[in-house]
Amino acid sequence: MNNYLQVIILYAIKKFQGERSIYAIYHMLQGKKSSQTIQDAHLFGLTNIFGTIPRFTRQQLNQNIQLFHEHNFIEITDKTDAYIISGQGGRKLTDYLKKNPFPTSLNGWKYQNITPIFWGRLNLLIQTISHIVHNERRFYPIQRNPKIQCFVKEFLQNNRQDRGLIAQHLYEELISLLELQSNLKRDIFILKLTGVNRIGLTFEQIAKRKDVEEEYVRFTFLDSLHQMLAEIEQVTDYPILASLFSDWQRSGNPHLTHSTQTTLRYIQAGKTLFEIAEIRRLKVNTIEDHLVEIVLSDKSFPIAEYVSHEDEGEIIAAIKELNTKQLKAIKQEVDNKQISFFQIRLVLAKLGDG
Amino acid sequence: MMNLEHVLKEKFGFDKFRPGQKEVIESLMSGCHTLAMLPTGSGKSLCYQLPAYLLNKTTLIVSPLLSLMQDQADQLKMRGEKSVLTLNSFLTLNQKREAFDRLHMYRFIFLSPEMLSLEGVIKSLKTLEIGLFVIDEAHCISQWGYDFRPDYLNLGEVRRELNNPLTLALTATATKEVRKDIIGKLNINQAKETVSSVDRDNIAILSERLFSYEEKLFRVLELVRKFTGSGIIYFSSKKVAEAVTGFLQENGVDSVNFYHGGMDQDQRMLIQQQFISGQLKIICATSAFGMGVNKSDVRYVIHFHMPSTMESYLQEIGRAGRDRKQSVAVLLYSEGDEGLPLHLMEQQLPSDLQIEGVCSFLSEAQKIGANLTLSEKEQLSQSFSLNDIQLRFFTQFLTGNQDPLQHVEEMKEYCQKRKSRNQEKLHKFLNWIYAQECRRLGILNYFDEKQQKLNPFCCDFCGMDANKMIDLLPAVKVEQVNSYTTWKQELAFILLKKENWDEK
Ligand SMILES: [Zn+2]
Repeated sequence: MNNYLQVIILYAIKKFQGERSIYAIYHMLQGKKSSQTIQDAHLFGLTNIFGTIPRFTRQQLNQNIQLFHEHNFIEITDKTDAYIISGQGGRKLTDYLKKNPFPTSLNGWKYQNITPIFWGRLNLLIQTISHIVHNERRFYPIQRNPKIQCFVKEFLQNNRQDRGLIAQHLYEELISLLELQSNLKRDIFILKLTGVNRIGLTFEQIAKRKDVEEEYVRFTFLDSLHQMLAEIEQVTDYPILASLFSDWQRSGNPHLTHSTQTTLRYIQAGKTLFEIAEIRRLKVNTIEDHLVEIVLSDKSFPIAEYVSHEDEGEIIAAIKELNTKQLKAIKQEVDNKQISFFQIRLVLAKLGDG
Repeated sequence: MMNLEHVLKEKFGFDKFRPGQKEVIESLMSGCHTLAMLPTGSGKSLCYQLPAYLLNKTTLIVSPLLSLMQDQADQLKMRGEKSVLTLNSFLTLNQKREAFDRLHMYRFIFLSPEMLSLEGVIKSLKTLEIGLFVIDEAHCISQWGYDFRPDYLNLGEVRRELNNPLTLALTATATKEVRKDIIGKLNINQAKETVSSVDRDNIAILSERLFSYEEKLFRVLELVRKFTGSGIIYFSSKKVAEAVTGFLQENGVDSVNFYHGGMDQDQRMLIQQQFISGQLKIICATSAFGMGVNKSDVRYVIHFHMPSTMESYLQEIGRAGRDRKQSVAVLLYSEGDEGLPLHLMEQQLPSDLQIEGVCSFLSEAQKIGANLTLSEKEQLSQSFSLNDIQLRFFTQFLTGNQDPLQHVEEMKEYCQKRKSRNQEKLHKFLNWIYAQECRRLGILNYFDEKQQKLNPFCCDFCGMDANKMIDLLPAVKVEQVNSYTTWKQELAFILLKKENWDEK
C-alpha cells in the first residue's frame, strides 16, 4: 500500500465484513445523503470517514479494488461486488496504521458540511487580521468564495474591538486548542495558514516537507479541524472560534436530510407514519427510512410506539447472539412473524456503532 | 477637456499613462465607441476605470471568466473603491435581491455573459443610466477568434436592448479579421479602433530545436538554473507538467511547483498566490494558469510544449516582463510536437456522431440544452462520452425552443468550419516556428503590423540566445528564506505584533 486513500478503503472493507458492496464505500466517502448510506455509517461504525472525500470517484474505487485483488488483500464473497479483507490485507493494514495512526477525532458524519466553511472563514479571518495587525491594508484574499468573504467582512464589522486585541484572543484560542493536538497535526495546521508575508502550503507541499504521504496529510488536517470543532462545541472558552460556526449550530439538527426534517416535524405533531406518508405522498418505506435516520442522529429518540419493549429485547438478544448486522440473519434468528425488517433496523439504529 | 493626468494621479496614484491608455480614454470621452487592442499586462482595465469616474454614471463590465471578474473587482476594492458589484451565480437569492434593489448605487457592475441571459437582469439594468458598456476579452465574440464563447454572441442584442450605450471592446490579441468581426457583432460600426502593437519589445523571443523528451528535460533544467527571477513553464499535458516538476526538484531546484486544472480549486489558489508573492519561483503550468495573475516581475516564460495558436503564444509569453524590464521567452520545439495540440483541438468540439446522438436524445426527451439539470447533464456526458467543453457546446448552442434535430446539420457544419479553422491556425504557428526569418517580424506579419524599429535583443534568428540573455536579465535581490521555527512561534509571527513575538 502506498497511500492513505487505500488505507481508508481497506479499512472500510474490513468494517463492512462483506455485508455491503464496494459501492457502499463510494457513497460513504462521498457522504451521500441517503438513508441507506447514513444507516450504514452508523451500523458499521464508519461515521468517522463519512463524507471525508467529497470528490471521490468510482474510477478511483475500482482501480484500488483491482489493486487489492491483485495483491490478495481482499477476497470475494458470494455477494456481488462485496469483499472481505484477507489475512494478508489485515496484516498490511495493521502495519500501515502503526506507522500512520488512524485519525482519532475524525467525525465526517457530524462535521462534513461545516468543515470547509469553518476552515474557509478561519483561514480568511487569520489572513485579514494578520495584515491589519502588521499595518498592511492591501492583500489578495486567499479565499475566493464570496460568501466566505462576506462572512469575514461582517464578522469584523460586528466586532468593533481593537484589531490587535482580536488577534491576541484568536492567537490564545488557537494555541490552547493546538496544545491538545499531536505534533504532526499542529505543524500541518500552521503550514496551511496564510498571513502577512506568507501563503499557506498545499497538501502536496506539506507532504514533501514532512516526508509523509499527501493523502495522509489531508486526512490529518481534517482530523485536526474536527478535533477543534468538537472541543469548541464542548467548552465555552473559545468565543471567537465558536462564532465562526454558530450559524450552523443554530440551524437545528443539521445532520438530517431536508426531507427527514419535514417528517420529524410531522412526528412531533403526533402523526403516524402512515398519515405522514399520505400527507407527503411518499411511500411508507421512505418515511420509515426517515425515522431510522432520526434515531441514528438522536439515540434517545423514543421508539416504543414503533417497537414494543418485548420485541426490542428479542431483537437485541438476536443481534448479540449472532454478532451481525445483517437484517435477514437477525430476522431468521428472532423467528417471529410479527417483527418487521423496519423494526430491526430501528433497534440497530438505537444500538448505534460498534 | 479636463486634465486626464490629474485624474490619473488623484484616483490611481500614477504619474504617467502607459502606451495606448490615453488614446483609448480620449476616444471614449469624446463619445466614440471604441475598440481597443492593448497587449496583455499594459493596464487594460484603467481604460474603463478612469472614464467611469469622469462619466459619473454606471459602468457595466462583461467579463468571460468568473475568476477574472472577481480579480478585477477585488483590485478596485483594494484601491479603496467601494461601489463595486459583481453579479454572479454565487450570490444567494437574498444578496441578489438586495443587489438589484441598490443597482443604481454602484459605479462598477461586473457581470458574466450568462447572467445577462437570466430573466429580469436586463430589465433591471435598463432602469440604470449606463455611462459605459465594457466588453472585456472581446475577441471571445468572434467565431474566428481563438477563444470563441457562444454566449458572447448575444452581447450585440443586449447592447441594443440597453439602448446602445457608449461601448468599449477590449482585447489583447485580435487579428484584423477578428477586430472587424467584433465591431460587426456588437453593431458599433462607427467605432474608433485604437490598436497598439502586439510587440512586447522587452521580451526576447527564442526558439530552440531539440530532438527528444530527455533533451528537453535537461534543457529546461539548464535554463532555470541560468535564468534569475521568476518563471513560468507551459505544458499542454498535466502529467508532463507534474513529471517535469518532479525532475527539477530531484535536481535541486526547490522552488518549483505544478499548476493545472486537475487540482482542487483551493490548492490552485495557494500555488498561484505563492508565485505572485515570490514564495514560489517557478511554476510548471498548463494554459489554465495565467488569467488574472498579476505579477509584474516574471522574467521568463518557457514553452515545453508549443501552444496551438499565435494568439495564445503571445498571451502566454506576455506574462513575462510586465514591469517593462528585459525578459525572455523560450520555445522548445521538437519535431512532431504539433500532434498534441492537434489532438487537444479535436477534443474541444463534438464529433458528428456525438452531435447526432445528443440531438436525437434531447429531441426524444423534449429538452433543450439550456435547461438541463445537473444529473441530466451528467447522464448526457456519460452516454455520449462528452468532456466538459463538448457538453458546454451543446448547452450553449441549443438554447432556442426548436427541436434539436433541426440544428444537427448546422452544428456539424459549424464544427467542421471551426476544426479546419483551428488547424489552419496551428499550421500558421508551425510555419512561424520553421520560418527562416526574424521571429518578431513573423509575429508582426501575422497581425498585419509593420515593424517600427529594430530591437537590439530581438530573437534567436537575429543573434540572441539563452546564454547572452543571462547577462541582460535584471539582477534579482536574493530574498532570505524564512525557515520554520516552532508551531507556536509561527502562529505568533502571523497574528501578533512584532513587539509581542519574543515573550511567547
Ligand atoms: Zn529578430
